[in-house]
Formats: sequence, C-alpha cells, structure tokens
Amino acid sequence: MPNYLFYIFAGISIIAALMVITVVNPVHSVLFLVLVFLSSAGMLFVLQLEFIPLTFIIVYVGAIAILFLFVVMMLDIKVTSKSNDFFKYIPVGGLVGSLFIFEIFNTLSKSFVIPKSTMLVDNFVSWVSTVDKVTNLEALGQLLYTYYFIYFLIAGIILLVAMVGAIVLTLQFNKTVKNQLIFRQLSRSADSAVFLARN
Amino acid sequence: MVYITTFLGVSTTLFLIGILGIVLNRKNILIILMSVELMLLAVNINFVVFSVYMDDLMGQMFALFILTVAAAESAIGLAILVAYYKVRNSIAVESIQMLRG
Repeated sequence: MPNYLFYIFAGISIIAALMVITVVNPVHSVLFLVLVFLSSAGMLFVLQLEFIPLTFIIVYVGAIAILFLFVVMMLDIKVTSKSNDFFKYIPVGGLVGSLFIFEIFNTLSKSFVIPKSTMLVDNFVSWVSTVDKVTNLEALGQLLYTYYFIYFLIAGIILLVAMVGAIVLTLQFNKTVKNQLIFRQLSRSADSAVFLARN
Repeated sequence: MVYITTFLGVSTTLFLIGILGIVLNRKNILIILMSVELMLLAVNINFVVFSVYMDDLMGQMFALFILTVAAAESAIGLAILVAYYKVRNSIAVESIQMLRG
C-alpha cells in the first residue's frame, strides 16, 4: 500500500512542478507550487518520517507559498502572454536537460543495486526504535540541541538577518506626511525651545 | 518496495524542472523564484532520503538548515521584487538590465 501512495505522490509532484513553470497565471503557479510541496511531503511520509515532512508543510506551504501569494496579489501583475522565447529556448534546453537526466538516471541505476538494503520502505531497520526507544522528533532534538546547537543559533541569526533585510528593503519613509517623533518631543526642554527673537 | 533510486530519480526530476523553469521562463521573476524553491525542495528530499538510507540523522538536520535558508532567500528575493516593482512598475526580466547606477 505505501508503494502505491509513493507513486501517486511522486506523479502528482512532478506533474504539478511542470505546471508551475508552464502555467500562464502566476496565481495558479503559486497554487501548483503548494501542491508540489504537499505531495513531496507525502512522499516523505511514506518513508515513515514524521518531523521533516510536517516541517516542510508548515514552512513551505505556511510561510513561503503564502509569501509568494501575498506578493502576487499585491503587485497586480498582468497575465503575461506566452512569449516566443519559451519555444525559442526549448530545443537547446530540452536537449541539455534530457542529456543530463539520462546521465543521472544511468548513474543512479548503476550506483545503488545492492539488493535488500536499498528498499527504503518495507525493509529498512529502524535502529532508532530498536536500540533506543526515542521517536524521530526526539532523536532530532537530542542531536540539534546538544551537539549542533551552534548551527541552530546560526540558523536563527540567518532568519533574523533575512527579516531585517526584507524590512529595510521595503520600508520607505514618506517625507510629506507629518509624523510624531516621540524622542524629539521628549528631548525638548524649555531651554532649547523658548528663545527670544532678535531683530 | 520503494528503492532509493526511485526517490533520487523523482528528486532529480524536480531539480531539473526547476532548472528548466529558470532557463525557459523569460517573463517574470516570480516564476524564477518559484523555480529556485523547487530546486531547494529537490535538494531537501535528497538529503532526507539519504538520511534514511544511511541511518544517519545528519541529513535531516541539514534539511532543516536548508529549509531555513530557503525561507530567508524567498523573503529577501520577494522584498527585492517589491522594491523593484516600486521603481519600474513591472517585473519583466528583460528590463532589469536597465537598472544600472
């Protein structure tokens, strides 16, 4: 049964990814991107992982795709007609891409032909549950918060820098609107504000 | 039975679709950013599948960090897109080369 689920999810994700880059309307493109993320998370659920696919759904669908949707709806992009460029670049791109994918599949089919241990779903030994009774999430947390905590902190700093950068890039001060500057009001005293006009 | 080669084939196909989206799409930057997201997703799937294959949690941790970088990258890219839209009032790729100086 997980077998069929995997193939269903894989087919959905590949078809939806193709739709992402070929569909004309950007809103439809973002929605197909959401479908790609969801189906690839389902593909990873087949591997009996819990935390990583759920994080994929939360971060990719809940944050990134929603961000894309915001930008698409905010910018009022005209629906672009399919240009001739798409078909102009298809021969070279298709040739290079098909060569590359042929080479990759050739390498893959030669590299992983160990009979039993390559079966991921039904036949892999979950050492985590046999040796030490911790779940996937617990094991990941034990690793992430102890040995690799510095990378965790660096990831947080990366997110902070991205947030500050996005705010700095998009924030603009309107010079024509009178704003209330509280620090200027508070630093104003009678000595600096009241003075005699001399003529 | 799902072999690792099938998983790697699917993720490689997703990665190639992302590259094709960047190369073939000459109209708006939004599709290019989405293609970058697709490529990062394919790389993430690769890391997680190899993590299961090798019984090592390092791949899943690395997938978490890639997820962080993907979120940061899309935030910065979309912010640049919004700033560019304010200047040029369109997001066509062809006119970006006029944005000099």
